[in-house]
Amino acid sequence: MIKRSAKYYLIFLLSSCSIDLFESFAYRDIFLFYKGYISGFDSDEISQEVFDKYEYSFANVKIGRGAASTVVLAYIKDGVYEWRSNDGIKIYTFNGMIIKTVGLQSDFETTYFNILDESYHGSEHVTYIEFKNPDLYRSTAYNKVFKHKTHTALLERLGGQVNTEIITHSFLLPVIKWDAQNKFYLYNDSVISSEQYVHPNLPKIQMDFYLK
Amino acid sequence: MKSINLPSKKFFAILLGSIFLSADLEAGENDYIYPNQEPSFSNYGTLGLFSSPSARFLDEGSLGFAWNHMQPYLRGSLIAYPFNWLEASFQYTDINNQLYSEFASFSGNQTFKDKSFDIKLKILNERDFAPALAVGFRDFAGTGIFSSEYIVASKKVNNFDITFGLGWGMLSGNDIYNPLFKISDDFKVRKTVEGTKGGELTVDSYFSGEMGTFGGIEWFLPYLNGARLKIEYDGIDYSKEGFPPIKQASKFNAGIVYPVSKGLHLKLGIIRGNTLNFGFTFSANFSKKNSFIPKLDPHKSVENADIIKMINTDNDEFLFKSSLKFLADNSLHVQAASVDHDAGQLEIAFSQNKHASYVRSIGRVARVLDDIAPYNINSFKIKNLNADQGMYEVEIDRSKLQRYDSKVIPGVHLGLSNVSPASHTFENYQFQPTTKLPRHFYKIAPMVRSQIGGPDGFYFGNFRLAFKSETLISKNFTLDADFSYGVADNMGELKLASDSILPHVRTEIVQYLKQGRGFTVDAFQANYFSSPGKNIYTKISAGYFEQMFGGVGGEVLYRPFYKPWAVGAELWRVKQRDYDGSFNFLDYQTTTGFINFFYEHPGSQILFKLKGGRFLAKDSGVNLDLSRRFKSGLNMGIYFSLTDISRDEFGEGSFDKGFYFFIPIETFFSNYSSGHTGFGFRPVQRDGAAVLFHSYDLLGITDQASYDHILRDWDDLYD
Repeated sequence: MIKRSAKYYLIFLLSSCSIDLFESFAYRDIFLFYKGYISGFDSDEISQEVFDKYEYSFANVKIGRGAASTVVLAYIKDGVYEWRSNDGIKIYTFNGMIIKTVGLQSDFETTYFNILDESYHGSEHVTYIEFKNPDLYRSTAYNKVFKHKTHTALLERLGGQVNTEIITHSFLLPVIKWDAQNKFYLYNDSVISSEQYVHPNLPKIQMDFYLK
Repeated sequence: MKSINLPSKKFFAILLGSIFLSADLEAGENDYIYPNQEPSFSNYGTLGLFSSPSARFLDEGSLGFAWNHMQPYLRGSLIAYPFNWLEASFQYTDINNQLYSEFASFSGNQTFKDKSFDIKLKILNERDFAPALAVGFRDFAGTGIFSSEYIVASKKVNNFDITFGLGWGMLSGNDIYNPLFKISDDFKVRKTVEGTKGGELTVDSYFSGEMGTFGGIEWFLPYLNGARLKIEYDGIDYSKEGFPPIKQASKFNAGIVYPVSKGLHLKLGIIRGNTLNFGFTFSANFSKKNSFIPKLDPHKSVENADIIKMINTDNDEFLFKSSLKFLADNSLHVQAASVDHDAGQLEIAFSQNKHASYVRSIGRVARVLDDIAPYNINSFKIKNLNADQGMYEVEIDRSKLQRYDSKVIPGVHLGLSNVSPASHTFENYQFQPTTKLPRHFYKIAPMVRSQIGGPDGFYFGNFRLAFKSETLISKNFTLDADFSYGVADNMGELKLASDSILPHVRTEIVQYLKQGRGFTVDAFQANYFSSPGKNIYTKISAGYFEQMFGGVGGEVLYRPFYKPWAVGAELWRVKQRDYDGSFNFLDYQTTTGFINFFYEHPGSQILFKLKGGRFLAKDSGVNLDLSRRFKSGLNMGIYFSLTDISRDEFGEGSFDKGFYFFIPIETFFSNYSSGHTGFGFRPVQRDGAAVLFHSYDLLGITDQASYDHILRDWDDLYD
């Protein structure tokens, strides 16, 4: 087809009191887009076949209602995992807890602790958080971690279901009155999935870990 | 002279003192305590309080829509920011204390509709100890029932945004002495243009007559997502605005604006002490690359590339055919190819219709070739064709392409060393894939044909199914055939007849809408493109060009590749089409043609288009169009025409004018595509200054035959 510039002929179609709304959009795409935007895009379900295809550990990340994307484990240093996407986003985790992001619309970094360490469970302790865009420098956050003794969750995993334990992590940043609750799902004492809030300007991040 | 009614001194003391003795809101915590601090819109569509404008502007490339209800007005507004210093808006207002006309047989019980344009210009940016300053004009080219001029200052002080201004016209409700009276007596009386048909610039009346004050504050509330209270001292003179009388119980207006998100604001308030006001606004910045939806459409490397490279090493035929296949997989279509093993160069001529960014398509071609070309190929010469004409040619050094791959060193790109204009003859190529011709493309899609705001009713619509097709008879000879069929409509109630004293080239729109409710031939047009000389492009077309005209004609364009300008000419012999959308013609026929001049400033990407010649209604004159393109492909523009007909001959609106914007469709999706969607508005379509619409104008077809257009997108090479 001949490539033309739309701007030089559409004016007439949309001008005056009379308006022709032509099909500039592909309507099927519009429907799928808005369906996804309104009801949320489906998560990419990772099958055993897909899992086997990956040479390295990876994680499936879904931010809010957006489409899921994959980050690959690039480094492990002192227990901190660095995950990278193919468009330059980096997510750092410590035992499943997101402790730093680079390349998101708004990034954050926090001092951290081991949520799997039961000595932290039930008590209140302090961390320090920094935000980017807009900047917020080293602010105090109060944290509480709680492991549910009786409550478990069934998660879809590699085509089957696994029964996971749940750790909840509640926090409060008094300076901006922001609080939220994160959830971590444990299987064989390691976090295989999490739902976390890392920045007040970002929706919930769901991160499913596939370690090799 | 009327007595001077100043608002309380205390009120102004607080406002002025706060403006000049203040500091900016601190970043950091405050950005989280008071998020979504974007300025909010007034009831008049532009940024401001309720009735008052402010000196605030959104970033350039922003577009906004505002919907406001406050008796007796229901107003929809479109707002555009082509520059950081310019706010331009269009308002469409339903005024329900006045009938459309006093003749029920003409307009029934429909209420009055008013269209108006507003403009605001920034004078000064806000500084630590000085407010932002702007000057603005309301309803400056409409019926004038809201016309005002103002100078306004705005200053942020902690979590307050304070606005104070001086207004003329409808904004002179709080009368104070107009110091311009001392300059000239001409300022003492606010003039109106005799015999106006609306739509004229009434320059003589600007800043004249009574002057008044207005102002107020936006008070940002903590921890409420950027919600703010608005309190305003209303400057509108309701004894003059719209269709009086409108009762005003209080000079103070108050309400709350709640940002659901950064761009979506809800508003609720009480104005005039007796009127509920509610509405919403949406605004966003569409100017930046991939700013709206991140793209998930990266280059996909060719699988088993090493094996393909080996196969291609000793067999040029395999190299050409694999180029054809793997580029086609990426919607990039090889038209011809050659390889020069001595020079180590692979040359590809391609065409594409997927990428709005020409450089992105170059990058995609180069990366596929890098995947599959044998190691002895050191460079790629990539030529782009459109309508079988050479557009540009780029030579890319393979080692540099690999060295600076964005995955390795983000943000580093190749230099623009070897970009040149392209002439094209197939004979020069070793590989010339045959294309089965004729080739046919088509799509079926719904469409809505609408008539809005006429005296017969506010909205008339015709829901249609459209069949749009393009047949390539040869690569530079096409046949477009667009048909549509009406499924449901209420056009039967339309009855407004044309009152134009010019040939009815556009104003018989009601006849076209009513009689074209069933099956219509929307276009049936043959086009032949050629390039008879360097930088010269031509097009000859014949057929049914548009809903109202068909005929024969052509266009020629001289567009030097390295220059920011182009000149062209077009000439058409056309006949008016029958109202029913059939292949029949009416009696009216004419010759229309123009000399066209185009200049695009490379830095600002402002395109200036001047068209001079004879229009469809046999009037002669010029059409000026100014538009600005942003990095995303967003385009905003205004236009007007001046011809040798009087404003009486032109009729309502006095002269042709309007604005438009186009947004690339890929803005809203995670995949790249080349289409645009947009909106254009012309207050009133009259017969004067009407131009013929023929698809494929040469400036659009040759858009990529410009060094500056390749340069501007060079950072898209690795997208």
